[in-house]
Amino acid sequence: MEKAIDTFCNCLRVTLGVLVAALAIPVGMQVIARYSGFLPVYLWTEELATFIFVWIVMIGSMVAVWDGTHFDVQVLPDATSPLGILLQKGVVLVLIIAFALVFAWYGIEYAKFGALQHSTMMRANKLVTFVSVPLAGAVWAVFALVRLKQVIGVYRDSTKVTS
Amino acid sequence: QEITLRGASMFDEQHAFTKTMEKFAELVDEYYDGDVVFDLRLNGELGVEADYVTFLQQGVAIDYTIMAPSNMATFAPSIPLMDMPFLFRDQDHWEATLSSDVLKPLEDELLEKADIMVIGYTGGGVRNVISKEPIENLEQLAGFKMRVMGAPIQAQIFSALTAAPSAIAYNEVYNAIQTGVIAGFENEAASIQNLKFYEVAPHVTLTKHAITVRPIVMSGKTFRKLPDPLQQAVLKAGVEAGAFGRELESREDGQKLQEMVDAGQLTVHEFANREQLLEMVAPVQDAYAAELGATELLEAIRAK
Amino acid sequence: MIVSTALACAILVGSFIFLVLIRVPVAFALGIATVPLVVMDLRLTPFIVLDRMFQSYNSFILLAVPFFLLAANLMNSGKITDRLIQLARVLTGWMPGGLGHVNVAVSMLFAGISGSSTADAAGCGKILIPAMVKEGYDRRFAIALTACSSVMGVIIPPSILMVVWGGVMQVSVGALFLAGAIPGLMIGLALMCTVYGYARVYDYPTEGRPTLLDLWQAIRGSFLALLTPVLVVGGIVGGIVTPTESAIIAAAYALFLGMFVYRTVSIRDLGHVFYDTGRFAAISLFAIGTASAFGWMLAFFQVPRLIVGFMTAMEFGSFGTALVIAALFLFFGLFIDAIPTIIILGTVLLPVANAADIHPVVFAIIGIISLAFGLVTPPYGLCLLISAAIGGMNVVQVMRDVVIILVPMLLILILVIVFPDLALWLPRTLMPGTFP
Ligand code: NA
Ligand code: NA
Repeated sequence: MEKAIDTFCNCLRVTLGVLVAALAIPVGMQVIARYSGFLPVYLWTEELATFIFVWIVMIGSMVAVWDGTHFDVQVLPDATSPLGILLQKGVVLVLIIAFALVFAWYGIEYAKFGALQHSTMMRANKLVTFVSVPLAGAVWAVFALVRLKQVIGVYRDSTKVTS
Repeated sequence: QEITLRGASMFDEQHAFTKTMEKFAELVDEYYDGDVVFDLRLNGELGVEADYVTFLQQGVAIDYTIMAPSNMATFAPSIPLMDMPFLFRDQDHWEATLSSDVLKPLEDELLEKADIMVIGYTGGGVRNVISKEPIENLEQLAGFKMRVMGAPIQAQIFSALTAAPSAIAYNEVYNAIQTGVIAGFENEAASIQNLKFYEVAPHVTLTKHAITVRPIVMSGKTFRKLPDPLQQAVLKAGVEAGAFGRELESREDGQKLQEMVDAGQLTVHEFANREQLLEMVAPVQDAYAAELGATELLEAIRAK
Repeated sequence: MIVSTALACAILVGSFIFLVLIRVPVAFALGIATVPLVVMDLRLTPFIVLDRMFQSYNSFILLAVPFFLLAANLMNSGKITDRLIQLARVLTGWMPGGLGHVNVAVSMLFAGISGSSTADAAGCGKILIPAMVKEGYDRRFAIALTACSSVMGVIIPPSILMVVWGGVMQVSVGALFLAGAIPGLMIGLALMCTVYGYARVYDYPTEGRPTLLDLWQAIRGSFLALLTPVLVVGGIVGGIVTPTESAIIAAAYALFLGMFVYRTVSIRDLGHVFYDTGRFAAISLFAIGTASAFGWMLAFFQVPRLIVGFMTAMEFGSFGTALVIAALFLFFGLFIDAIPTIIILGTVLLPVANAADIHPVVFAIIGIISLAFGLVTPPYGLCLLISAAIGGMNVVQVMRDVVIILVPMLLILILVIVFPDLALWLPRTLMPGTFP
């Protein structure tokens, strides 16, 4: 399971890098188009840039859930006992899973709402970006669930050693 | 049980939209026997017009507002037709169109695709070209680097006039003109005054290429929940508030332009042979209407 | 039910603080905190939270964030940062507390090239924190100094925050860039004084005197990199690009230097830089989304109206209002990222500042400096979190030093409030057209 997720996450990482590189294209074209006579003025550049941008944010948020790199704040000290670690990490993961499920569930409605709309320039169905919402919710939930399983596993192992 | 209707506006107490929505509330109160409470949120507290479309479609957060048609284009692509450039010959033509029911096909499309009801029409801002350097004729308009609103028809029309329309986000316009990324844009007097665009673009050319049409809209989901007598009151009040708003905004638009001229902020220029512009854009308008399957509608508006 | 303003405010802020304390990531804490109200208030649905969040990404101005980050990451990857450190070492290393001054000076140079404070903390911190610890500096001081000096990144032009501010509030970004220069340099000087004080108390070493040859080599090595601000600010003031687009110029130039001039960036590195930029930009932008939903919720329950009403009623006068504005930005900066604060709080305070006769450019600079300080204040201070992570310490452990270093910086903020001309003089002199 963990291995499959790692592979999937690597695909996400590659996509993320490609999207950042791709983002330069519409914005760069927008500048060039203004100054060169031979390119038509691209009114859709801004739209395409925003499309790519949304996907960068959403894919990045998924990867960060798996890597645990969303910023948290260390006011309370790190737990040291196995039970403390289980509680500290477990509670956070459970809350993220709950939020992710809400996000995914209502995200389906939201994606349907997006499917009703078409972008003004490219006439693209807005589902193209809106679908990232339920997808992100589902992926966070799976990632956080597997992490929760690992945290519980670590706790079980530690109790086995001591007993 | 008390009914609350929540409205929203991006503008402050002084703006014509706000006064129109207050008039609407007043009229509903007058025509309806029961109790209705109105809660009007101003200054973009609940977001911008593009956000309101979402709220209305879903029937959450707000119930009614006034907005630019182009904001609803993602749901109903034909909607921007109602205020495309050079659609109206003059003020009388505009008034005649809006006080008739010729725009009914667009209203039906909006209700079907976005569940948003048009209950009246306000507007009346006259859109002109604002620029860093004076523009007085076709030669000066040729190659004029200008920002246009984000709808293909806008770019097509100004391309047909040989200007060079370009994609700049509205909140970058001020900086873009100041630094020379663009040489100007097009807008109505109220916007020029509010956002102090005259500081960077002190010349206005009376192209009068558009007179704004701003539907007063209500969420279909809200409307259907209202008791029948209130529905009738809302529809009646919407039409009358619209007429009130049109008169108010047309008057204020002229005043605002004059204020800026008197304050030495703007210099006004006439456009030589303005009629020529109307001829140049007609084919673009025809093609656009044909693409939307709205050729009949365009003919009907022109015939008003 | 219909929830009252006070109850809504208590629920939103209370659950956010609680969630943050139990270590829920800030981005998620902002989102989760909105859920109870959505359940309680019958006028709201989860749809609103999703929509407010998602639509906040629909902003062309925010594109400046990944591009300025990309430029900075390319500089870090292309060893351009190393060249800047070399220059800073030659220029300031001979003073007592040498590496500390180098840390400040390189942040000033980096700030002049990049619009991002976080990239500065990450890039310079990776090199300078270990180097300082190795030379006997207190680890806590090294971390705190790296974090605090990196805030100049958004005060000295170019700056992501100024691009966003100029776009949201219709102020000339060119004028903002120029207005930030003098306060930014003063903050740098204040930091150097602090380093000098530390060096005296703890007897920190110098780096030795550089020879003229060292100086020449350092300048030659970093000259092309130092041209970046000329290109970026010049591109904007010269009317070639919009402020948002200027970020792409910075990135393209850094790419050009790294790949073709210094040849320190390979295609392989490039992939990594793109990924790393995306990863980091996404983390902070994602938080902007949930913060926007959170902020919208505050607005829906009329919390900002309460603040503005209170402030207008108090009639603080020009100076008093400016102080309160700075305090509010500092307070919001404790919990939320700078960009959403500009969107939520800046727009609310703009009429207050106007009423109190505060120049829009001065208002912007006060806001941006206050928000920049928020980058090093817990619970949510990204630069501090990054520096602490590099130094391998907990944020709480370095708090004492952060406070000591921040005090002189706060004095500069107060100076700008007392003497607004510190911000206005440069744009007035160089852009007379903007200030009739
Ligand atoms: Na900077
Ligand atoms: Na902070």
